[in-house]
Parts: sequence; structure tokens; C-alpha cells
Amino acid sequence: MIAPVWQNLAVLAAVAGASWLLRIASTREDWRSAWRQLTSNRIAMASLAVIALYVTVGLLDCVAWRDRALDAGGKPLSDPAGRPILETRPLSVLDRLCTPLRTRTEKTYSAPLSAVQFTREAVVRADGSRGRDYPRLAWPRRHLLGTDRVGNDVFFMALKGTRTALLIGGLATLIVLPLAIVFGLSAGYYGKRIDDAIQYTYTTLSSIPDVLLIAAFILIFGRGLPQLCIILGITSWTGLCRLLRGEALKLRELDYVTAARALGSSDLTILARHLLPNVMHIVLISFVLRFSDLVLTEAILSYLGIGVDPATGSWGHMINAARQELTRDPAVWWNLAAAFTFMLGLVLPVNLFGDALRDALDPRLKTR
Amino acid sequence: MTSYIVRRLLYAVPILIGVNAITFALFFVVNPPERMARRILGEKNVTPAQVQAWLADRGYDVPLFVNPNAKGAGRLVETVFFRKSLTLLWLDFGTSDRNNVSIGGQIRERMWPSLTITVPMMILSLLLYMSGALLVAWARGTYLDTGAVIVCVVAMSVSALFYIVGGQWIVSRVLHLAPISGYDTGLHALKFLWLPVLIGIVRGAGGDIRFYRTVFLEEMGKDYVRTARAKGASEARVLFRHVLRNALIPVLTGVVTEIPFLFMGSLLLETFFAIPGLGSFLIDAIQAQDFAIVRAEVYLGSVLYVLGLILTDVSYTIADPRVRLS
Amino acid sequence: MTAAGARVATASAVLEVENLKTWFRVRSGLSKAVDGVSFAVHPGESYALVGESGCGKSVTALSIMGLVPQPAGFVAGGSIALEGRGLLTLSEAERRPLRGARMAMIFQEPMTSLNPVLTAGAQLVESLALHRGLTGAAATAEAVALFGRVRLPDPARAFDAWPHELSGGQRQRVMIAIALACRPALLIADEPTTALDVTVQDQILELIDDLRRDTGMAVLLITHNLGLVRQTATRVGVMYAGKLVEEAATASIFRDPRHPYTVKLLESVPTAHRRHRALAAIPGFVPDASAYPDGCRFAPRCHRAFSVCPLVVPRNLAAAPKHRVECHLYDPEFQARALPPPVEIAEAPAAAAPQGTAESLLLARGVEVHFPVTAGVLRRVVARVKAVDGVDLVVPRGVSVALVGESGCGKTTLGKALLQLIRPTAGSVAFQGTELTALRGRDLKPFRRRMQIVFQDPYGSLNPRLTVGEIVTEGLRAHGREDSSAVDVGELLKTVGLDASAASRYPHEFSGGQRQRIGIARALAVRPDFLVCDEATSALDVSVQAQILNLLRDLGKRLGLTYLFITHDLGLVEYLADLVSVMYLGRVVESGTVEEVFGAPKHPYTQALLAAVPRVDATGRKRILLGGDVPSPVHPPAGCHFHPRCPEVMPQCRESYPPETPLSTSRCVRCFLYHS
Repeated sequence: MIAPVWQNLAVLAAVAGASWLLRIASTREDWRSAWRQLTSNRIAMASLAVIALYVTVGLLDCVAWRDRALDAGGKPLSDPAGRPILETRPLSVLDRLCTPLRTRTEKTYSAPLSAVQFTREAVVRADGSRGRDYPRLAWPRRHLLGTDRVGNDVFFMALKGTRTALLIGGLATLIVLPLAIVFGLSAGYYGKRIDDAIQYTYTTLSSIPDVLLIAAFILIFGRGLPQLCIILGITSWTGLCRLLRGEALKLRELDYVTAARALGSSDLTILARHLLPNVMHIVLISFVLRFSDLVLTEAILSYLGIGVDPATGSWGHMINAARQELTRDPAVWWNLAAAFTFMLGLVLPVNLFGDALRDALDPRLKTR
Repeated sequence: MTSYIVRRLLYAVPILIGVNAITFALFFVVNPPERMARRILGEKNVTPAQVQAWLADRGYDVPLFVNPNAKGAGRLVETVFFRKSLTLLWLDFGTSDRNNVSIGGQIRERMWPSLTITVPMMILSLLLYMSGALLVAWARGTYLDTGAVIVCVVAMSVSALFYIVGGQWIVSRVLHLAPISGYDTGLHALKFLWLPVLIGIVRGAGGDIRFYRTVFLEEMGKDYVRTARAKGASEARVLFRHVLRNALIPVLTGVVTEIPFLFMGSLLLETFFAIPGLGSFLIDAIQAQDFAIVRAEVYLGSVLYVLGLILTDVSYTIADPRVRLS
Repeated sequence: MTAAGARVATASAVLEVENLKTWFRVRSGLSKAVDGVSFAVHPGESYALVGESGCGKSVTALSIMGLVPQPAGFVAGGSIALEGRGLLTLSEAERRPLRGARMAMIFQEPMTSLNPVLTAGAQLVESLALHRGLTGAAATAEAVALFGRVRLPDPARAFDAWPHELSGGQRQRVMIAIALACRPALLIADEPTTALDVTVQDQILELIDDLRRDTGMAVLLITHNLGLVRQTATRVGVMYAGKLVEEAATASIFRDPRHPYTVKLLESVPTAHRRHRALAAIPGFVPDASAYPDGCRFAPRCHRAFSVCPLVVPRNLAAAPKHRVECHLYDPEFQARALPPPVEIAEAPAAAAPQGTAESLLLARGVEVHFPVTAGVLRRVVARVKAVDGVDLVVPRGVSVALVGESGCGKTTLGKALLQLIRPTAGSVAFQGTELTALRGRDLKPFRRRMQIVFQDPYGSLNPRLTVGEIVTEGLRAHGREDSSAVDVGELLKTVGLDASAASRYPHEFSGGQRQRIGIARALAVRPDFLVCDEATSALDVSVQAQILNLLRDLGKRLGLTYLFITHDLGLVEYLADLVSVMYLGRVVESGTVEEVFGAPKHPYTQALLAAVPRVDATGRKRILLGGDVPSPVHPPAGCHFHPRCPEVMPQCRESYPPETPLSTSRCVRCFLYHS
């Protein structure tokens, strides 16, 4: 687990970076006109709103700090040297906002909005007789999506899965973009030996089937969010790199690049001023469409046991648990339903928004 | 043609050497054999002697690259690199780490259950997706088209896990139409297999039908379609004689790429339905931390991938008259 | 319409189009691509629809065929009758048997108009089977016979050939064979030769003409090329902004054009006798089909427009017998109010051709650009594309030099090699005595500033992500002069005829001609001495081309620029250039002053090229039809590259390449006919 301070700074940096990029984009007419086209698309705007909601939840769950530990009497604890003792687990803003959800745990399964527990156990009835019955919940009819095996609120667990999904998509992309842009553009622009070397590298890497490379990597470096992001980044950059190389090959032959060379502009200037701005829309589109793939992949990998560690909340883990739960009679279906709803709720808007984005920025890129 | 295939095979050599280097780095340099042994034998309560015995038993007790104690060619041959990594180049997979069985033998045995799922799945899905996409392309611009595209996008936004978990639950547990999981040989396999195959087909439908539709529509915008219409060809003729043939080229070559992977099976379907194929072999190996099996499968996967690339190139030259071998 | 006498619907007309309106639903409303067009085509007639891009001529053709792109396009009104049968009232199923049988169409792009995965024969047989019920051996025999009729070199081989194995000219012949398969009454040819080389264009036009005479079918030719109209059409309809503005017999239109648009259009074509005078450019550009001006649609650009024009839609009038025009100048009702034609201020022709100094600005000797063709694992060089194969070129200061030739002759590659944008593989290029081929990077940079280039494609030559200001100052930035205020961008834009406010806008907001102006401004910003114009006007409409040519001519005089024009437009060469070099397959076959070369061409290729180009100012010229296509520069024919197509080939032509034979101080030819 990353130390909370660093984690918070990283979140701050990411938000600052994103808003900086948005500011730059908002000064460019081409991006503005694409945005205007998007705003007139109702589906795209609705999708964007839903995505924004998820991102907000994810960000709130990323900013965390540790509280002073309290003794039984509720007084803050200090160590013998007088320094305050902190809780071992940091709590995020989301945890704090959802304190009722987080703390109102039950003993075990309960159906959505049910007043009683899912399983029978020995109870003392109101009339004093003993028997097996469904005991009343500590918080009856308060669990929107029920509770899981250890009595956690499923709605809260699903919310916690958001952060993992977004982090996987976001961090893997942060690894993908620089690799793909630098290698893809230089391979296409310079050609010859540089192109050969880069092509060899990505052909070799992409010839190892993704899931196998991920399995090998996770087996060796252990399960965990950072490892997973790194390996997903490594397996994902080749596709975009190939796409950008092809685009750079085409752009290199265009007259405005020739004109720039005729005017004496340096290679770096040409790459930065003429090639990069003309592939940014491809980068953005493939980022959005890749994002939904990554979210789906994360769940599958977590299910296969090569995803994030079990302590990290993840929709994949919830589905994994649902496999046993469905064998019960009657079936415990709400864990699966919650994960299904939350995943579809994120992936569908991302896919719809990606399509709208593609139409607005580059209708040529229909096939992917 | 033969010389072309030979040339393409030669192209594959440096790639496979590269893959070999990557797997070697990953499995032996980053994660030395001693560490591997400790993880398998258990981190605690293991003596160095036990570790050494385990290493010697499996042939890991030599240096990585150069063996100063050996003579002549043995300096290079008596090494982990030669024994465990270079041998993969000629598909000698060695034995598993945990119970010392022949991995090659396991692969030969387990690829058949994998194939019995993946081959029917591929053939049926190709036929169904193509027909679906043709129908949608035919009805382009109508409500059927719009509706189908929406259904496709929703379908591809649903995780594969739901199709499998949900399908198994509804068909096997609620409706009792199929056994929950398992595998049998011969014709008896059929009752175990039809559900995973069906789920596999449904799972890929959204994305692929949408993709094929795009391919069809792109072809329909081309100049030769206008020529065909100017000739007086009917819409059906335009679609089946002109558009379909051109659209089949990218579709078929895409499918050819997948053929070698049929041997690898489907990881998810095999683990869910307890089918003893290569996919579940890998998952079992991961759970058992058997590095030798994972290494072998990584390499095998790459070989199959490269094979797929070659098959794709060859099928292009057959399917598309514009691509001629020089 | 009635006032001028209704068009008499002759029973004999093959095609009658009456008040046709074909509109498109677009984002901004309705795009009225064709908006009330009437004409008739008779058997054996070749009727040409001419006009600039976006005037609706292709949409007219597609409407007749019933191939208007769906679902955006629709016929909003009018009628079309083929052999007396109304087409618009027929259902699609009733109409389909007519397509390809009674009316057929060939398209502009032979490269993409054939299905790539069916053989040429199969595609022709399809048509025979659909309409004539021919199958099997009978169909094959008929197909081979048809391929012979369209003069494909080896009809039996062509039957089994894949489209990609055929050259552009051969594919267009296949298209014609398919169109002729069922002996249609009407053949619509939509820019049938625009994508072809000029010598091949000549063969195709000749073929269509012969077939028309033999079969008596009617031809509806759609083109923007006025020269081609004069050469092949019997009657002409001039379209502007979705309307047919003038219609008459070809001779009548060219001798006595009535509509001011036609008048200006004909005057804006560059030719030899307009040399040293400004061309009659039409200001502005063709209006967008979704926002036509009120009244006469040409009024805002018209030099004769008067009070009525922007208010009243002109009627269709007879300006002379069989000469119809939609213009108020010929309307008895308004004629009196018209202003007299503005007096042409005759520009005094320059006393003599600018003789330039003897000093050569650029001197190229033996320039070769060979591209290696590699194959195999080890990338062995198996062949070389000899794009430029030993070219000498002298560009004296202040003199305009033209490099002419068909596509693939290496003229563009040579231009780029002179500027060191492609490094020559051999030979020398000296700029004012400094050898450029030896210079690298930093050393070359000062020369980059002095030699600039303007490109053909107005869309690909400007980076869409930069503002016009950023584009224009790019050279200054590259040469470390960040203080772009030193060179006033606004001033620069005004020099090329743009508004200073353009600097903050993006390229997509400008029309093709304006974009070309921006490209010129970018080149001029670094104050070059030498400007290469690589087909700089060939993507533009005639009226806009004239604007740009006038600008180039004017700038040349004011700034003392030396031009190298790379072009296939011979009219432009005669109009603007002083010296000319004719290229064929990587080599210069003839060079000299424009008067010498164009007045009395010596090399058989030059003669054929000059004869093949359709001109607006010449009729009844001698035709020299060349056989075959331009060969590939990978395997050029042995000996003289031109010998397989040369009408005067001699045995020695097959043996060796003819040496350079000087004919005068300024003139050279490479042909054994002149080698003693």
C-alpha cells in the first residue's frame, strides 16, 4: 500500500495535470469544435455525467489519512514518548462520508432491504422460546444491496470497487501513453533502423499472449495494484504504438511536413508541432476505448487469481465470491447483481462516450 | 509460395529468440531458482540443504549463463540458460516443478479438450456473426440497424464473467438443462460442451457483429459498389457477390490469426466448467506456483502467435488477388 | 420558361431532363446541388455538361442513373425521360433493368471503380448475364470480343486479369466495355479521363468518340476541362450553382459565349496568346449549395451585374437560335438597364520576354534519384526505381523555368531533389555556385531560407492544427527569428491577397484558393529567391486558378522571384514560363525556350504530348495518338525509354539512349532523329 501522503499528492498531481491539459485543449479551436459537437450529442453528455460521477467516487476514495487511535474510553492514544499513535488503516474521504454504510455491518448474508438475516440460527424468540429462525438484522432494511458473507454492506463494497477499476484504467494508461507516443512517432517519422528496432520490440512483446505475460509477471512479482498497472501498461502499449507508427508514416509524407523541412525546421520541431497534435485525437480515442477494456480485464484477472490482492476491494472479487454464493439454495444473487450493475454502469457509458468521441474527432477510425 | 513461407518462418526466428530472452529474464534473472525453490517448499522451516536437493533434482543447480566448472562446450551447456530456456526453442518443455511430470506430455493430452470447445465455437460464431452483421448491414439506416448497434454496445460492455456465471446458473442450476461442469471423452462430451460453447458464442457476439457491420458498411461506400449498381445489379447481388467477397478478406484473415490459439483453449470457460484443457492447466499452475508450466505455456503461446501471423500473411495472399508474392 | 418558348420535346431525344431538382439533407439545412436543370440529348450526340467543382454536374448524372447517395439525397422535383419513358415515376425494381442496359455510366476513378476481387472478365460477364442472359462460353466469347472492341491490347488475357494488374487506362477501357455490354442508348461519362495521363486521356476520348459514331448512342460527358469539351462535344451546357446557365452548340459557345460566367471562364484559361497579360479571374468562389445568393446566383461575382441581378432570378432565354442563356443581359425586359461592358484596360505587354541575367541561380548536373527496391530477409536491393536518372537543369536568375511531363516521369522528385528535400543519389546541385549536395544540417539551413516550395494539394499542405499566423511564421521560427513582429504577418497576408485578420483563423475555414494563398505566404515569409511551384494550381477550379496565376505572376515581378513550375498543364507553361524542359521516365528529352519547344516540337514525345492536350483556343489540330501507357520506372524499356510508343522508332532506338543534341544555344533534344 502506498503511504497516504504520497498517494494524496499523486491524486493532486493527476487532477492538476488533467485540468492543465483541459485548459490547453480549451484554447485550441479544433478541440473546441469537437467539444461543441459532443455537447449536442445527448447520449455522449449523459455518459459523460455518469463517468464524472464514478470519477468523483474514485477520487474521494483515493484521498485518505490515518486517524488518532482511541482507547476504550475514547481518549486519543499516545506512545510512551508522547507521540500520537495512529490507526493502522487509513480512511479515505469516501469511507468517512459513508461511515454509516461502512460501520453498520451484520453477521453474515442478508438480502437487499431485508429486515432479517439470510441464514437461520439459534435464537431466543420474543416469547422466550428457543429455536432456529432468521434473526433480525442490527440495521434492518438499511442495506440497499444486502450484505455479504461477513456482513459488509454490498453497496459500500461495490463503491469501493470503483477506485480499483479507475486506477487500473488510469495508471496503466499513464504507462502506455509516453511509451506508445515516443516509440510510435519516432518509428514512423525516422524509419530505417530506428523503425526496425522499435518494430522488433513491439512484435516480440505482443507475440506473448497478454494473459500469459500477466500471469507470469504477477506470479513473480506478487499480486497487487501497482504490479497489475505496470504489466497491463506493458501489454497495452504495443497496439497504440503500431497505430501511431502507421499514422506517422502517413503524416510524414504530407506536404506540410515537407514544407516544414523546406523551411529548415528541426526534426524535434516537426515531431512536436506537426505530428503530435495530429495524432492526439487518436491517442484520446484509443485511451477511452482501451479504458473500458482495462476495467473488464481487471475483473477477469482478479477472478483468475492474477489480479489485485484480495484485500483491495474489486468487482472481480465480488464476482468470484458470487460463484459459490449462487450454489446456495436459495441463491445469494445480490453480490453478483451489484458488481454487474456497477461495472455495466461504468463500461457502457465509457463505450458510448468513446464512440461519440470517435465520431466527433475522426469518423475515419471506425474500425478498431 | 514455398519460398515465401520459408522466408516468413525465418522472420519468426529473431522474434522467438526475443521471447526466449524475455522469459529467461523474467523467470531466472528477476526470480532466481533459489527463491523459486523456497516459494514452492515453503518460506519457513526449510533448510538450505533441502533447497539444494530440490534444485539438483530439477537441474537448476548450475550457474545461469557460464559454468566455470565444466569443460569445453559444457561451460555453456551445463547452465540454467541452456538447460531450461534454450531448449524451449525446439519445444522441449522439460518437467513441471511441483510433481516432476513431463509438460510436453501434459500439453499433448490437454490440448484435445481445449480443441473440442474452441473449434466448434470458432466455426459457429463466425457463421452466426457474419449472418447477423449482413442482416444489420442490409437494414442500414433503419430502426433494426440502430437497435442492433445499441444491443451490441450493451452486450460488449458486459463482462465475460457475467455471461459465464449467469449462463451456468440459469441453464444448469435453474433450468437443469446441462450438467454444471465436467468433461467426458467421445460423444459423451457433447452434453458437457454445448453450454460452454454457447456461452462463448454469446459472449463475443456484441463486439464482433458490430465490427463486421462496420467492415460491411465501409465496403458498401466504395466506388466499385456504385459501378455494380450502375450495371443494374440488384441490392442482394451487390451485397452477396460484391460486398461480401471483399469484406470476407479482413474477416477471414482475422479469424486465421486465431486458429493457433484454439490449442490454448479458453481460460475462463475451462476453469468454470472444469474442462481439463490447456487453459485450466495454466490456472492450476498459477495457483500451484509451478513456474516451469507457466514458462512453457508463455513460450508455446508465443510460438502459436507467430504461427498465426504467418498463417494470416499466407491467407492474405490466397484471399486477396491484390497481394501477390514477389 | 413559357415566355421564351417551351422547349420542344423532340420525339427523337434519347434523354430529356426537365426542371430537375436533386437536393441533399445536410447539417445546415438543404443543399440544393441540382436546382432546376433542363436539357435534352439526342442520338449520336455528345452533350457536355461543364462547370467548376460543386456546381451540380455529377449529381445531375447520378440523378439520371438513379444512384444519388441515399438516404441524404433525393429528387425534389422535375422529370427525367429516357427514350420517352419517365424514369422518376418508376419503382426501383422497374428502373434497375434499364441501368446498364439502356443507360450506362463510367466514372472518374478507374483505380477504384472495379471490384478488386473479381477478374475484369467476370465483371463484364455479370453485365452480359444480367441484361442479355448470356452465360458460359457465349458470354466469354462476347466479353473477349468487347474487350477487343475497346482496344485492350490482349483481350483474352485481359479477360482473366485482376483489376490491379491493369493500368489506369486499361481499367477505364474495361469500364467502357462493361458500359457498352448491352449497347446502351445513353452513355454517361463522368470525368472519364481526369485521373489519366494526357496521352492516355487522348486514347480514351478517341475510343468513346469512335464508339459513339459507330453505334449512334448518345454521350453525356461531364467535365470541368473546357479544352476537352471543345475537342469532343457537339453541344455544351454550362452549369453554375445548380443551374444550367447557358446552352449551345460547341462552336457557338466558344466563338460567341453569352453568359458573363462562360465569358470569364473561357478567358481565365491560361494560353500562349494571353502571355504577359493578367488572366480574367472571377473574384470569389462558387457559393455553397445550401446558401445560394438571391436573384442570379452569379451576380456577386459577375463583372456585368446590374441593379436587377441580385433581385430577380433570370429566365431561360434564347440569345440566338439554338443558343439559350439564363442572364438578364439578354432579357428584353431588363436589357435597357444593363451597364455597358467595362472597358478592358489593356495591359501593355512586356516589351520582350524578360531575358534574365546570364547568371544561373541554380545549376543541376547529372542529378539522379534512385530509390532502392528491397526484398528478402536481408533487405537485398533487387531493383532500383530510377525516378530521376541523370538530369541537367539550368535556372537563370529572374527566368521562369517549367518542368513538364506526365505522372511518374519524375518531375516532382526532381523538384524535391533540387531543394534537397530528397537527397539525390548522384550528380550535383549548385545554388549560386555553392554545392548543396555536400551540405548537411546546419550548413544547409541558410540555403533552405532562399529556396521555397508551394504544393499542389491545398488540403494536405497546411497543418490543420495550427492557426494561419502560426503557419505563416513557421519559417521565421525555424530560422531563429522568434520576433515575428519584425515581419508583419498582416502585411504578408495582404501581399497574397488575404485579410490580415486571417492570422488567427484555422486552415479549414478557407477555400482551396485561399489555402493556396496561405501556402504562398508561408514560403514568402522567409524572403526566398527561388520558388518551386509543384502543380500549385492544378487542384483548383479554372476561375480560382487564374487568381493564383495572376498572383504568382505579380509577385514574381515585384519581388524578383525566380520560378520553377512543375506541371502537366501545357497552357500554364505557355502562359507563364520562359524556358521549358520536357521529362519522360526520369530524363529530360527536350528543353529550350517555350517559343522554340512549343512552336516547333522536335522530340516525338513532345509532339505527341502537345497534340494530346485539349486546348480551348485550337481546333482541327493534327492528332498523334500514342499507343500504350507510360512504362514503370522500375523497368524502363532498354535504349530510348520512349521507343515502344514512338511513331518514328528506328532500330538504333532500341539499342542505346540517344545522346544530347544541341539545336541552338538554348535548345537541346535527345532523339536519334536529330543526331547526325
